[in-house]
Amino acid sequence: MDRGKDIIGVRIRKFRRRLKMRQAELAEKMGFKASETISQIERGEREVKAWELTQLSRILSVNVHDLLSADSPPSEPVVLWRQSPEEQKESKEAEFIKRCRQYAFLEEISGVKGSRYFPQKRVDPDTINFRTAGTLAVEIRSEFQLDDRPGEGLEEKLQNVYGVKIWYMAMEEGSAASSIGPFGPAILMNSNEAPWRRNYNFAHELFHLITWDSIPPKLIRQSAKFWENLEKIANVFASNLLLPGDALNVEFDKLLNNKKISYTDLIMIARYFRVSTVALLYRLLNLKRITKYSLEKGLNDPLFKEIDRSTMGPNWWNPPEIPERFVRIAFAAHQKGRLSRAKLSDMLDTSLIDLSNTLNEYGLSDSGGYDAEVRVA
Amino acid sequence: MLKCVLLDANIIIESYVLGAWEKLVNQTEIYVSSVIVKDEALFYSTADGEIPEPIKLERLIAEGKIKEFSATGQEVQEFRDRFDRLFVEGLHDGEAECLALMMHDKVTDTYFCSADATAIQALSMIGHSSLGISFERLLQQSGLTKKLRPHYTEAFFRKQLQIGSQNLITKQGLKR
Repeated sequence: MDRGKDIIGVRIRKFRRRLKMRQAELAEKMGFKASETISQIERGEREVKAWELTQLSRILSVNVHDLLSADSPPSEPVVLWRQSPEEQKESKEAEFIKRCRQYAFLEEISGVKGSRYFPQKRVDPDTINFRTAGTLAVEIRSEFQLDDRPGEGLEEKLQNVYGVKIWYMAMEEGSAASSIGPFGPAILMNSNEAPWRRNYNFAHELFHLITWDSIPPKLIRQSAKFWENLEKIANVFASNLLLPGDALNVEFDKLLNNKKISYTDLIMIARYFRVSTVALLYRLLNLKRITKYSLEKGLNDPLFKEIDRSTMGPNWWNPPEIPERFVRIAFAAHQKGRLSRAKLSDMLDTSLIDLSNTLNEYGLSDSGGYDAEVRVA
Repeated sequence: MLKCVLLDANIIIESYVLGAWEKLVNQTEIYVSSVIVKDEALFYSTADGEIPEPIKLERLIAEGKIKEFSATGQEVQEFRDRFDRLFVEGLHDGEAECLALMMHDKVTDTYFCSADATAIQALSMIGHSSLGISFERLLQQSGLTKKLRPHYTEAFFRKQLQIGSQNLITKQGLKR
């Protein structure tokens, strides 16, 4: 048996199984008439053409290199879901990891990296509690230099300063997930979520990322009860991070009228801090600014929900399909001559014909002249 | 006149955009790699809602106007194995296939035409500098004159071949 064909076959089988895909399904996606063709390829009995490798790599969410390399394949980073989708979880994870690897590759060839080291906080998994989460939130707010409205700049800071790879995916179900791999920390976000839900998810996932070494996914998954409790702790962290007590009290007091606050004002505060009204109400209860009765009244009152919904539209922001930072780094790599134009198109999910327009949408122009340099002092 | 030219996808698009594609097809024997032929996403135009008719490669192949060449996975692997991963990953799979075809002499008496720095450098790094041709020269030899963007010029092509030759000496971008 040919060693090259053998390696390719073994790799294809491994990545197919990772996606829980049957040979027949892969054969169909490849346009092969019989699943036996995949079987022959996997056994190293059939030669694979270059174009077939390209198609296989796309279907299996890997690079051609991953299918060809004789080196032992890198271990798959764990993806920790907040609320995992029931359908096609494996393919979503594979696509997310592939994108994170592309991201890291682009950073390497373009020389662009996050300017600060992403912190790891030492916590004891046996004793961690809501208080620890609150303390961690204060610490992170100060370390990340987030102001009184952390929701305003959290995503930007995570991405541009700490180099967290943020990827959006439109999902019918599932909210967000996090991972740490050779590519560094990464967050997968459901772009169908409302902006304020996404902010909360970012803060929630940030908790998992900063405690990844102390509370690794393997430990989290050992006990459903521990996992459930840890998710609550991550929520407390998110709430404390996005709604700093002092700043929230100031805004709340400004709008108090005769020891009462209107629904409209509550919604305004939520929008100001870029969180959901539900998150705001819980935080106000936690700060003892409202009673449990008021919380339940707010949560269950259709009028509150209606006013809330009516003010959502103007604040709704949909993230671009490909993160802006990813596009900028890919473009920089291309301009430095380290990424071909066709590869750039491929990474940006656009055609060569449409590439210039796609770049223009991100405020970039490929009209040339970017290799010009200036001498520094 | 040039006999055969293996074209990178980028060159196909640029010649189409400049209105030179059909003339090139008529005047030169054009070869295209299978990855490029089958990667229809490269040629899709949102404005047209489809691949523009003149560059529907499968049709041109069926009509015998251009020829398709395929490399095996093994040949691509042997090509890739020469390079440092960061270098070779900057190439599109179609470019890697073109270069694998050149390296394995599967297309004889054929010139490779590209406007991408990495692809041109790689051609030089596999010792095939003499088989490279810039888009500018290709157009000139086909009797066409067009105003070109910097990456498509002879000067850019020469510069990249030179960088590739230097890389070959310093082992930059090559597997160590």
